[in-house]
Parts: sequence; C-alpha cells; structure tokens
Amino acid sequence: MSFGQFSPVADWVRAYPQLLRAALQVTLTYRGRLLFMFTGALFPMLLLFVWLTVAAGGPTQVGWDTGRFVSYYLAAAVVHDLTSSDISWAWDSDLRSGELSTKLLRPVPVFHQYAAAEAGSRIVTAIILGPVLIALAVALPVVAFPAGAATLLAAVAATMLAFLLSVLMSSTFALMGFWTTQSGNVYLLWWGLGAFVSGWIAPLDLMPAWLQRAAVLLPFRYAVGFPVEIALGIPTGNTLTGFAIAFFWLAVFAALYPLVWRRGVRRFQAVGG
Amino acid sequence: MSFDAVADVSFTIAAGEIVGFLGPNGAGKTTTLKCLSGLLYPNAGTVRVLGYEPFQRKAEFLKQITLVLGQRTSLLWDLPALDAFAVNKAMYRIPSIEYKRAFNELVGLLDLGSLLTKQVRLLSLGERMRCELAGALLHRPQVLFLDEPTLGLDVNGQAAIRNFLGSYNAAHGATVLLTSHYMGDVTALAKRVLVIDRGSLRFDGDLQQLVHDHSSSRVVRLTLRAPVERGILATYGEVVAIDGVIASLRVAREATTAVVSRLLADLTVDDVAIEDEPIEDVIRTVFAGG
Repeated sequence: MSFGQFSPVADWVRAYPQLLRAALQVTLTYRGRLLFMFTGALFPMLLLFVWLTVAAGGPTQVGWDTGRFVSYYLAAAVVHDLTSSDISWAWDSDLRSGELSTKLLRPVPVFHQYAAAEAGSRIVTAIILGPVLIALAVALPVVAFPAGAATLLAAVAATMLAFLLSVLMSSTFALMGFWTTQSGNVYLLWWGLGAFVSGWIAPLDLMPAWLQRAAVLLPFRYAVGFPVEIALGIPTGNTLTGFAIAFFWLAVFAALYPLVWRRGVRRFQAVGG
Repeated sequence: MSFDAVADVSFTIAAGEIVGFLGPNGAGKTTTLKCLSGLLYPNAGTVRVLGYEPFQRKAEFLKQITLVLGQRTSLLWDLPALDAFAVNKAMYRIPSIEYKRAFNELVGLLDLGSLLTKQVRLLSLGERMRCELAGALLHRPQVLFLDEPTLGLDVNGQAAIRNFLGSYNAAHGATVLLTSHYMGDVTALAKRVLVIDRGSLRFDGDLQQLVHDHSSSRVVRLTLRAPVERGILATYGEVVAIDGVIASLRVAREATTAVVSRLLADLTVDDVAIEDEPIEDVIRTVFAGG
C-alpha cells in the first residue's frame, strides 16, 4: 500500500518517532486547544443528562439504567477524543497558506506527515484523558465496565482501528481540497449525517432495528461507537463481524486515498503549486 | 540540468553554478523555480533536474534539492527551530554524524547560536530566514532553489544571507538558482543571469555582458576642487546628480574617454571614477525591449 509518493516504506516508518515527537510538542504548545478538547467532551455529557432524565423514570425499554448511560458516554467521550480527526481542517488551511507545497517537497509522503501529527496529538489526549477516566470510573460507583483482559484488548484494538479509519476518511475527504475550497465543510456534512449512526449521538442499542442494521454496515460506527460497545459488553451484532466490517472500510479508504491523491496532486501541479 | 519551456525557453545549468533569475513581478521566475523543484507539472516541454523529472517528486530527487520560498516558512511556527531541524533529520534520514557536521557548519556560518531554542514566531524576519536556510540545507542538497531569500530584510540581513550563500557554494559546490528583487543579491552572487519577462527568456549569460550589451552609456563621477554650475557641467553630458563638489554625469559609452579628457583639461578635478550604469537601470532597458 502506498500513499502518494512511492518512497521506500522504511523511509517514512523511520521518520515516525521524530514526527510523533514534534506533534507531541506542538500539541503541548497549544495548551489552549487542550481546554477546547475538554469542552468537546461536554457534548456527550449533555446527551448523557438527556438520557439520565429518561432513565430516571425507570429502566428504559431496552433495559438501560443510569449506570450504563454514564459508562457509555464516559467511554464515548474518551474514544471520540482519541479518534476524531482534524486532518480535513489542517489540510484546508495548509492549502490556503501554501504550507502544503512545503509538505509536498519533503521525502515523506504527505499522508504520513499528517497522520503522524494526528497520532502525536492523540497520544497527548490519551495521557491526559486516561487518568481522568480511571479517576471517574473509581469515583462514580454507577460506572461499570465488564472487567477481563479479552474485553480490554478488544476495546483497545477497536479504538486503534477507529483512529486509523478516522484518519483515512478524513485524509480522503481532505483531498477534495484540490478541487474545492470547501473540503472541511464536506467532511463536516459527511459526519453530520454519519454521527446519527456512529453511536456518538445515541447508543445504537437504543435505535430502531433497521437503523442498527444500517449502522453495522456503514463506516461511522467503527470510528466511534464500536470500541465503546465492546468496552461496555453490549456490541450490536457480532463482534468479530464488526472487526471484519471495520477492516473492510479501512481497506476501502486505503484504496480510495491513493487513487484520489494521484488525480488531485496532478491537478494541483497543473494549476499553481 | 536543462529546461525547455513552451515559449522556446531553454537553458542548461552546470553543477556548482550560481544563477540569478531576474524579471519583473509576474514574469515567471517563481513559476520556473516551482517547475524545477517539482511543484508544477509542465504541460509542454521537458524539465530535467539531476536526471529526474521533478514533477514526479521521487524521494531520491527530493533528498537532493531544496526550495526556499522567502515569504513562507518550512519551520514549525510555535516550536524552536531546533525541533523543526530534528523533524528534517528524520524525514531526510540524515545519519547522526553527517547531521552533526552539517548542523555545526550551518550554525557557525549563519551565526544561529541562541536563536535555535527560541520559538520561531518570536524571531525577527532576518533571524527566521537564517534558521530557514539552515533547516533547508541540513540534508546537504546539491541543488538550491531560492525564491526571494532576502525579501523584506534590512541591509545587514541581506548581507548575511548573501555572504552565507557565497561561502556555502564555494565550500560544497552546490548549484544555486536564485530569484531576487534586490539586484545586489544577484550582482554579489551570480556571474550568470537569466532575464525572464512575460514567460520568455530575454537574456542568458554573463552579468557583465548584459550590462555591456544593454547599456549605451556610462556614469562619470567627479570630485571637483570647487563647485561648478549645472549649466557648465551639462555641456559635457547629462547631469545625473550634483552634491556640492561631487557630480555625476551620464555620457555615451563610446564618448567616455573623450569626455573625461575634456573634463580633466577644462576643470580642476580632484578625483574621477567611471562606472557602469546601475544594474537596475540596465535591466529596465532590457525589459523595455532596448
């Protein structure tokens, strides 16, 4: 699999640790943005309170009590912060500022320059959010995640998959910047629709059966809801099938990206650089 | 290296040469550099640099070139330049020993010292440009494309960059292609100039030759014993400036010797200097089609 420039794999692989390090430093430099990240985590909390009001009238039809709602949205906030991708926006601004030209002339493919920056900032998120989550889980007696190494391992694997899928989707949409100045907004629209079936706005478990069936097949759930469902032990459908579908979408975008990239970069080189 | 453009522009630049691109805004200087470095795809003709087709942006090619755009930064705005250097080391896979050698040399030549640990956004334009050049040269590129590397810098800043580029070229035999609005950059560094206007090549050759070919007059600078009236001086040539006892006259190139002889015979002259027209004026003549 190749992304953009056909450099030997070893070249960009070896560049990763240093790229990650720089990304970590950039993230820490923008301390203000970390605050922003926490306000992002407020959104699921808002939804949580809506659901808690519902649950206050007794366990819902599907049997969700207060503890499960709290656990779900806590995990959803963490997974979302670890996996959501800003590449579309970064790309958009780089294209305008000319920074993309600088990236194009480096021997590491542009995809990996962005992916490494994204991974670096997510590592910072994990370092900060991890202890917060553990503290909350301990402090709130209603929070309950089924223990077990297998569950934990599966949830971590699903989170990493979610990150990769999110980066690939975001990067592919970012490429639209070669044709339109609205690539960030196109991605927003894609997610605006996708959020409903991602498990981000509402747990799939509480959705009508037909929507659940659609959500299981679409890519969005594998970028947010899937790891949360695994962590809570309430996967919609079969977990292994879920992993298979996640890999399928990963492969789709991994194939799509270089295709669009080649056309886009050729266009870029024709019109301005 | 050779480059053939649609307007039947072609040139070959030998390894180790410093070549200056001259031309008004929008003449195609930056476009040419972008074509040569691989950012632009030529829709006609061929471009070859170091045996590569630049637009393919092969990693082996990119590792041997560098493009510095004066008005942009390739450093990380919010981090010290040192961090951006570390990223470049990783991306270009520069072995530690070579990195250290290049780093020490560049830090010395560009006098970077304490600048490297300051956030890039806190640096002055001149300081940033020096860091920019160091970052762009850590991987020891064979070919340097420099677009307006001294843009916006004061006289000292410009001189620092010029001196550096001269010594770097001498030490490493790197090929340098340079555009600049400041004629001083070009005259100080490049023996050969390419004059580009409206996408076509107007001149390719020795800078002195350019002046000789397109300048029909010379400037005679006199230091007189006592001030002389403008009207009297005007009988010898076009008076360019008078400042007390110092006067400049523009005279036809072929008449220079005769005019100077007459001046020395008629007036009490303490000193006389004969200069070519300022290069800016010559270039203006070239663009005017003269």
